[in-house]
Amino acid sequence: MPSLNRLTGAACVLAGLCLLLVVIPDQVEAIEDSGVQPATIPEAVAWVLMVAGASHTLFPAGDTPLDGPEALRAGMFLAIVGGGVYLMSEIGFLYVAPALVLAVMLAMGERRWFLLSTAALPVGIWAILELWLNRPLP
Amino acid sequence: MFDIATILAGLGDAVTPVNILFVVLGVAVGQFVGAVPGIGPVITIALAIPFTFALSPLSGIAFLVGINKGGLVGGAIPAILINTPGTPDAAATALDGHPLAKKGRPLKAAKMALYSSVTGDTFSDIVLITVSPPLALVALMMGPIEIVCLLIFAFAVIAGLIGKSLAKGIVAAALGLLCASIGLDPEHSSPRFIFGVPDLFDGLPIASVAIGMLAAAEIFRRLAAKREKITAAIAFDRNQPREDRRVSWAEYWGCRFTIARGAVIGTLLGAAPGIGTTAASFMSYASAKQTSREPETFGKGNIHGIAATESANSAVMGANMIPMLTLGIPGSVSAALIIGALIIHGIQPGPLLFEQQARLIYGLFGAMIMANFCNFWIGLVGLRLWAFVIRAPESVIFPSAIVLCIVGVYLSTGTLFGVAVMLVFAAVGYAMTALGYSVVIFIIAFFLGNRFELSLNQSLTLIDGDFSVMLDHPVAIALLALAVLTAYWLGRKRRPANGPPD
Repeated sequence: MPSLNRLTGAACVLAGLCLLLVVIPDQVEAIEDSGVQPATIPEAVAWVLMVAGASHTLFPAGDTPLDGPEALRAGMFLAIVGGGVYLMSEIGFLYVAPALVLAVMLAMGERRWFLLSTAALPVGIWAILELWLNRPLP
Repeated sequence: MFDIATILAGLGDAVTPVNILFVVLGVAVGQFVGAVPGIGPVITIALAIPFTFALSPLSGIAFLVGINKGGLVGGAIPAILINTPGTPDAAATALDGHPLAKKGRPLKAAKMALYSSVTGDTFSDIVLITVSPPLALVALMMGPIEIVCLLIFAFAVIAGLIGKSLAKGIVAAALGLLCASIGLDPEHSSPRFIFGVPDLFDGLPIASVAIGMLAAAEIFRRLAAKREKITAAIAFDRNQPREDRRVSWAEYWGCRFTIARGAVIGTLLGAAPGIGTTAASFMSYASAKQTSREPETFGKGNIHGIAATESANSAVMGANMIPMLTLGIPGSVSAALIIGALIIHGIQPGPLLFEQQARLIYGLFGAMIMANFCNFWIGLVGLRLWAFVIRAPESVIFPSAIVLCIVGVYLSTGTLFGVAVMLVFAAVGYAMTALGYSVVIFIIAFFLGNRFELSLNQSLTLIDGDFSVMLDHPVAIALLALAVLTAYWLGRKRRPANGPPD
């Protein structure tokens, strides 16, 4: 899939330019009377990104095993887990983690009730860490 | 450099009941998690590091090394039984291991993997024990300039060896360096790329990035790829003939040259930072096939194929410790995590380690040899158990693994911000893999980034604009020349051993 390869190469060039012209001047301080600036490595990285990206755009190589529908499903699972982590910060691990396990299992298509009991696993983890080892969870 | 009494005292420390217990426990845990796809020793080491705080340094590090060694053996089990490597290290083992299992001899294949793995691991440990002290003396002569040039050489080797495109390798390494530069810079403590988020002052948490890109990204990929009915994939016949369940001495001895070659390849590649077990496995497999009298049987269940890959990938582990202990450079992700644990325990890996902590290091060597014996016996006893574990449906394994990732990162970083970073890097890891950019190169560059920048700053201060100073550093010049040659050579030549052989 050479066109996608070229696109990622062009994206690297753009990312390098963006770093050099916008992000580094805005986010990295310049130190006076210093031989080695804090921006030295980021700027070098930006140049490397531009040169390697340009090279890859002109002479693309390697595979791009991107599968669109699979990526969307991966995004769905990521959203489920991300939502679970957000709820953990609001409600707590003990209440959210079992629901998260259950949600992922259901999203995978699992419907066997005896396997769905795996959702109790986080309770065991919580008990070991919070009650036994005194390691706090969210 | 130090007397025999120190060596004996260190080895004696390794065989205390407590240390033996933690080595056995580490190996058992490592084999278990290595056999469960999606978890693996890397995430387990990250999870286990906080638990080692309460242990002595030797017990804690021996436990982590046991997990790492056990994981290498455990990873081969699902590769052989269900053609799904439990860890990336075992990817090449599936080439002949799974066909042999499909022929009705899964236990024979798994035992050959175990014997080869333990042999290769022991070989590289012996090399580590005998070569590390003199190498440490050489390391003492290396200043910041040499270290920078060594790291440049390592980057050149890493970028070229992994993947089919040098440009993609360089981009992955550059992105890793960029992420390593987030936080306070090592020279002036000036904030970089903070974007108003105070949690970023300390930089991106290593555990979040490593677990996100390696474990979580893989779990999401496997979850997304699962579209068929969820089943327990293993058909395991418990009534096989005896000769199909065991590896005879004649069969093992017949593989001696294959195992030796794999062990040497694994040790050489493992001693160079960042090259990794997968490259060693495929190189060993390819060389075994090229030198075989029956190359056409490779890929169809040839026991030499299993011996070649497992001896090589296990030999990498011990050899990874050579640059780790003597130079403080992690040879792999798991070695980087173990470096983190050493630092947490107040031990600074690097050239002075053998002078300041000789007894501890020889204790660690003793624990490593002990872990190899444990790997052998626990592996033999537990093979049927591991096969049973793999029968668990993916719908049980992956959601559990996600919760373990969350808990592991939270325990390591102490905040849910670390977990959020893990999820971000899971997405980054997924995207990089899908677009053909090496996640391994990114991770290794990320780990080495801070060290590289610090040494670069020191070197530029030493040079002070007068590059003729470099003439006083012939080793540095040689390393730079090697880096340029390597980059040029790898850019022109695609290695045949990089992908699965025909």
